[in-house]
Amino acid sequence: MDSRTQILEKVRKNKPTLESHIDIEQFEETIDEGLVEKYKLSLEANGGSCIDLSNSSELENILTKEVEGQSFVDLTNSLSEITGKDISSLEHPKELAEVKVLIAKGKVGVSENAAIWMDEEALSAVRVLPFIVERSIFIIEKANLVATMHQAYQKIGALNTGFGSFIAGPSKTADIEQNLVIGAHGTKSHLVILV
Amino acid sequence: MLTHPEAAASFNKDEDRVNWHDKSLWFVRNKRDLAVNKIPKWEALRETASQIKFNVLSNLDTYLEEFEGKAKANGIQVHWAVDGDEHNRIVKSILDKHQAKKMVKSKSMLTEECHLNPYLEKHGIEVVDTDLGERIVQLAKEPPSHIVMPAIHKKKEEIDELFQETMGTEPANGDPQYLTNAAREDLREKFLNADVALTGVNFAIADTGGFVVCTNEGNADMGVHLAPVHIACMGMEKLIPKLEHLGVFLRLLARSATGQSITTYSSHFVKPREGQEMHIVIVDNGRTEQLARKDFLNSLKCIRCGACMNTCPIYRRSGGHSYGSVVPGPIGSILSPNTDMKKFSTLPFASTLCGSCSDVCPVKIDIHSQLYKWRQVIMKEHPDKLKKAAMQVNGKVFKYPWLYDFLGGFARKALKIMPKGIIYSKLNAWGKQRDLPEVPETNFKSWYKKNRRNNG
Repeated sequence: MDSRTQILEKVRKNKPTLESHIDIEQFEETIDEGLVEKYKLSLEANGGSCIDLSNSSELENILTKEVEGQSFVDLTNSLSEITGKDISSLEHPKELAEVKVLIAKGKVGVSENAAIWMDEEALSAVRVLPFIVERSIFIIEKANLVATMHQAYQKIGALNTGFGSFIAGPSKTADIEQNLVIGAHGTKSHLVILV
Repeated sequence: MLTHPEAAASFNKDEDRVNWHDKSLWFVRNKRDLAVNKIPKWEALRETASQIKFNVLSNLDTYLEEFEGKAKANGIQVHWAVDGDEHNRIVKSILDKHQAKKMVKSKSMLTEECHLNPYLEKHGIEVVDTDLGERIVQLAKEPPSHIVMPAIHKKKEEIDELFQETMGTEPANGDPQYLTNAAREDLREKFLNADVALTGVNFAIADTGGFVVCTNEGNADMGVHLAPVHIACMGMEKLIPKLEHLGVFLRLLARSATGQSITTYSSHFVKPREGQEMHIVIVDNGRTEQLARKDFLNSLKCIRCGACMNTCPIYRRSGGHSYGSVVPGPIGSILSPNTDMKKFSTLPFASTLCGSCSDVCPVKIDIHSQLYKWRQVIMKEHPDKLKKAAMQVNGKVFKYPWLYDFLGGFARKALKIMPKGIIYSKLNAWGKQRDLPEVPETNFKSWYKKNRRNNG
């Protein structure tokens, strides 16, 4: 008997019959108040920084200043004067090792924890991008902020992607005597621009 | 192997270190409280998580089949392992197929449980743990002492010295920023050149056939998005039925573990990237046995957050290594006897049964009740003869009031005149770190007779 059959048979024989009542709906009520303020507080707690942009025409200026003189990838086509690294002809994700900044557009932002949903579409199918760069700049529309993870999954709906990640800040570790260090293996800094 | 009391006694020789360890863990427990208190309906979240896990355990076979079917349809290769040995052989066969010699690995308690690293190293594979804490204990050739913070037992100066010896870093007075950066630089090379990346699985979702891996460091993602092969190893109890249930678990996990609102990265893997191979190894290794133990199957709900360790007065003062098991602390003390009751017979006794572990558990495992239940089982199967004899003598004494009175009077006199060396002999386990209270002149019975009975 192969291991699969063996395991499944044993599960069938040994599994309990426990009553369960799962009520997710109780967490799904929509909250729209103070989402932007809450988002900013959560992001700050995670070690990220935020620009709340009231005038979207300033975006290009801000981004230009952010990336000037550095290698970068811009997935949002927000820059008209300078161009970043072209990733359409990438042969191996390794080739991104020297890229310093990523500019990408997030789909859903979560106020309770500052996480932004980045799927393959948002990453142009290059999964390693938001991890391998030193600084990530995510742009998200305020209209796409939701209160909690429950609403986030509702908004995302069925997963029509091969990969997606909730990214909540710069990479960090506290493995040395509980001292928080920003910049573990992923990004060293994380900027969110709310538009 | 040392028993828990023996290993704990050795850890307790250095009182400063014990206090430091205790404080570090309590700091994390405090952060958890602050985070949890901000969340409305926290208790409802815990209850819901618990209900979901009950549902999973009661339908595990159908969810496993559903998960396997969906995962395969997504282009993931699914393997089944009855035990740790088979798990290791499967991982090695995948490595062999790709003639892989270098593997980067993010944190996986399951591979610790299966002793994967020594197995692969024996076969000439370079295995690099990439979580900073795990890297530290790997370089120090030690097991992790905590499931979320593997190097919580190490002082920064010790890590400094370790890095100097193993990575050739400059002396840095234990500066965490410098040391973390040194590890980052060192491991970046490993990420870029790995043949295979292995990760654990935090949650596997039956209705999508995908799985979620959570890290703060980004090490899991750096590994798998660069390497041509991704192997994900999961204990079979990691399943949850639906994607929407992740909302519940991701809200609970990081808050319970470290007091963060969420881990920096919660990565959802559904399909391999173009040109990549993705494998999932589903492991039993004693879990189906635990499923049959009505009193203990609750422990299979565990999502490995470590909250029970951070809060446990015994764990904080005895250190993770004193348990001698892969998962230490309260949850480890109910999981480990399932795999080897004799070897881990002292673990269920490493508790005050204060119940703090059960209070903080995000999936409402009745940890302290299970510890108590394990004690009953263990005393039946592996009786402690000394304790048993002592309890029998006690039983006799309490049965005959005259004997109790006589011995009480005898003890009050004897304790006054006996030398300390005899009173605090090996037989007096209670007196190891404590002084007996001052002996009263008389017992309560005589005191009551004299002072109350006639005076109303």
